[in-house]
Amino acid sequence: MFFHSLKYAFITMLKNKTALIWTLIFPIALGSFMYMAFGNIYEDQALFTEVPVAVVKEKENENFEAMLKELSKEDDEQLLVVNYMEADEAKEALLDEEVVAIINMNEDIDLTIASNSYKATMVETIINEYKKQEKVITDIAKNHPENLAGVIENLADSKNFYTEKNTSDGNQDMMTNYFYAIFAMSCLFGSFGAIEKIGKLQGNVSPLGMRRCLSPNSKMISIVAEFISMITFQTIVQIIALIYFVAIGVDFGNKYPQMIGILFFGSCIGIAFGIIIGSISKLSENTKSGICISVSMVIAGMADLYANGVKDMIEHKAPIINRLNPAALISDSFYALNVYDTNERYFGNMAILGTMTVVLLIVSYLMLRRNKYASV
Amino acid sequence: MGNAIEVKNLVKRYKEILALDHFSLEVAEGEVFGLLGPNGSGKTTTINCILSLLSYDKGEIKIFGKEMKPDSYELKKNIGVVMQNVAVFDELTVYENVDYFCGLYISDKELKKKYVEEAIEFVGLEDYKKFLPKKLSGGLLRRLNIACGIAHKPKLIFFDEPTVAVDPQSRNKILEGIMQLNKEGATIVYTSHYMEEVEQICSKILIMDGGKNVAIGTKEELKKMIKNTETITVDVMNLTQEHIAKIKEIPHVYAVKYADNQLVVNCSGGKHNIVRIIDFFQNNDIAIGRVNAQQPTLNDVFLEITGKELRD
Ligand SMILES: Nc1ncnc2c1ncn2[C@@H]1O[C@H](COP(=O)(O)OP(=O)(O)OP(=O)(O)O)[C@@H](O)[C@H]1O
Ligand SMILES: [Mg+2]
Repeated sequence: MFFHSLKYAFITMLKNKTALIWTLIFPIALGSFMYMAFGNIYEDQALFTEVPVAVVKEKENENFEAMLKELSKEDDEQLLVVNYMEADEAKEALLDEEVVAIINMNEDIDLTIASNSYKATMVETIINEYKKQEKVITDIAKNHPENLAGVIENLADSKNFYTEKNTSDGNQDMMTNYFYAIFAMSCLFGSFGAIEKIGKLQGNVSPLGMRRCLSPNSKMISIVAEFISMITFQTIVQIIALIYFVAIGVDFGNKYPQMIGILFFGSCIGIAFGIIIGSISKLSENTKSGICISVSMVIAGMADLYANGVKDMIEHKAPIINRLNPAALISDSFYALNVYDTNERYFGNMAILGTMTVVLLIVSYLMLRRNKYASV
Repeated sequence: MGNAIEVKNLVKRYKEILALDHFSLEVAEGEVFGLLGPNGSGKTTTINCILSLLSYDKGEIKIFGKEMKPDSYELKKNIGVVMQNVAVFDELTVYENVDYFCGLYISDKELKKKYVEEAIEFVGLEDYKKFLPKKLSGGLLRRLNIACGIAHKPKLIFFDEPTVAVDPQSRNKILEGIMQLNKEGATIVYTSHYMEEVEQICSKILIMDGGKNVAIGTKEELKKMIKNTETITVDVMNLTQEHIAKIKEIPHVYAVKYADNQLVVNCSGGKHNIVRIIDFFQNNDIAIGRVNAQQPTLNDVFLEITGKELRD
C-alpha cells in the first residue's frame, strides 16, 4: 500500500508540469537576473584590502608574534595590518571600526570581534589555526629553532588563508550572499506545492481528499509518501539550480556534498512548513498560499535576499532569530561551509533544520488526524 | 438478511444550522435505497456522517452491524462511494485514476489489474484509458468518478447525485449501471433530488426535508399515503369562475387550479375521472385542447406532506 501511494505521489508530482516548471524557473530566473545585475562588478578583480587588527600584548609569546609578523609582511600575500595597542585604545579602535578585531595576548590568545564579517571570520580562523598548531610550533621552537621560520611561513601560507583571501572579495561576498538567499527562498517556496498536496489529502478541503479519507488505510501512509516525493523532487530542483549557477560562474566553493545536504534539509523545512500551514483546516486555500508567500518573503528578507546587512543587524540585536529563521540558517550554512575549516557550525545548522522539520511534521499529523473527526 | 446500515437519532449541526434533526434510517442488504429530498435537505450530510467524514453531535451509526468510526478500516474495505463532486486527480489518466483508487483497497497486482479493467469496461470508458480528466466531457467525467468509486467491488455503495449535470443518455447509462451493480449483489444508497430517477431504480425510498425523515416506503406505499390519486390537466380557454366551481363538484375531485389557460384537477380515488371531466366540457359546449391524466408522483407526495414543491 505504501509503495502504491509512493508511486502515485511521484507520478502526480511529475505530471503536474506547471508546478514542475515554476519550481525550477523561480531560482534560475532570479539567479540569472542577479547575476546579470552583478555581473560587471563581479568581473572586476576588486582589490583585497588587508585586515586591520589591534593586538594587546599582556604576555610575551614569541611564536605568535612571529606568525603575526609573517602575516603582516608587506607583500602580495599580506593578510593583516597589526597595530599594537593598550586595552582601552584597542576597544575604542574596534568601536570606531578602525580595526576589525582585538587579539589579546595573555595566558591564552583571546579574540574580540565587532561583527560577523568575512574579515572578522578570517582573523578568527587564523587564531584558531594557530591554537591548533601551537604545540607543534612550541616544540619546534624548542628543539629545531632553525626550522621555525619555515613552519610559520607554511602556516600563514596554508591554503585556507588563500581561500579566505579570495572569497573575501567584497563584491563577490555580496553576490554570493544573494545566491545563498535565493536558495533559502527557493527552499521555502516548496511550501506551495505542499499546501496543494496536503489539501488533496483532507476530506474537508477537497473532494479528492474526501475520497482518499474513505480508503481503508492510515492517513500516515499517504502523508509520508507525499512527503518523500516532494522532498526528492524539491532537492533535485535545487541541485539543478546549483549546477546552473556554478555553470554560469558563481563561486560557491567546492564542498558540494555538504551543499547538497543544505539543499536537502532546506527543502525539508520548506515542505514541512507548507504541510503545517496546509493542515490548518479553518483557512481557505488562498489564505494558506498567502501566508506561505508572505512568511517566505519576510524571512528570506531577514536573510539578506533584498539587501545585505539585515542578517548581520539581527545577529547583533537578537541572534536567536537567526538561529531559528530557516532562511537565515540555510544561507548561514553555505557561508559557514565556505568560511570555516571545520563543519561544526554547518552540522549545528543542519541539526536545527532537521529538528524543526520533525517537529512541524508531528504537529501537522496531529492536526490532520483531528481533522478527520472535526466538523467541517 | 441483516441491515447494511443503521442510523439512529443522528443530529448534526453546522454552527447555527441544524442540518440533521434526529434522523434515523435503516437500509437492508440487497436494497437500492433512495434518499430523496430538495437541495439542502441534508442528503450529503447524512452520507458524510455515515462514512465518518463528518463528526456529528449525537446519534449512532452502524454498518453491517458494526459501529462506524474514522479508522474502521475493515468496514471501509467493503464500502464504495461516488460523490456529488467529481473526485479524481487531474494529473492522472483515466486508467491511472482508477488504478490508484483501486490500489488503495486491493494489494494483489493481478487482481487489481483485472478489477481496474472491469471497472473501466463497466462505465464504458475503454476508448478513453489514456485520456486526462480535463479532456473528458461532463458525462464521461462522471463515469470516471463512478469507476473510481466502485472498482474494488464493494458490498455497499453510496451514490450522491451521480447524475447532476449529465445528459439524458449518460444518465440512463449510469442508472443501468447502478441496477447492474445491485444485481451483482451490492447494496446501494442513492441520493437525488430527481424523483423520476429515484422512482425508476429504488426499491425503497426515504423522503427527507430539513434534516428530518418525512416519509419512507416503496414508491407504491408512499403514493398510497396521500389523498391524491390522479392529476388531470386540460388545456382550455376562457373558463369562468362558475365553470370552475362546477368542476369542483364532480365526484372525487378535491382541488382545482386554473391559470395560463391550463386547468389542473386533483382527484382522490374513483375510476374514470378523466371521462367525467371531458363529459363536463362536452355538456357545456366548451372546446378543449390537450388532456392529460397522471398518476401521482413523488413530487405530489412531497407536496402534500410538506406543502412545498420538491423542485423549485
Ligand atoms: N460545510 C458546511 N457548513 C455549513 N453548513 C453546511 C455545510 N454543508 C452543508 N451545510 C448546510 O447543511 C444543510 C444540508 O446540506 P446538504 O449538503 O447535506 O444538503 P443536500 O441534501 O445534500 O443538498 P444538495 O441536493 O444540494 O446536494 C444545508 O442547509 C446546507 O446549507
Ligand atoms: Mg448533496
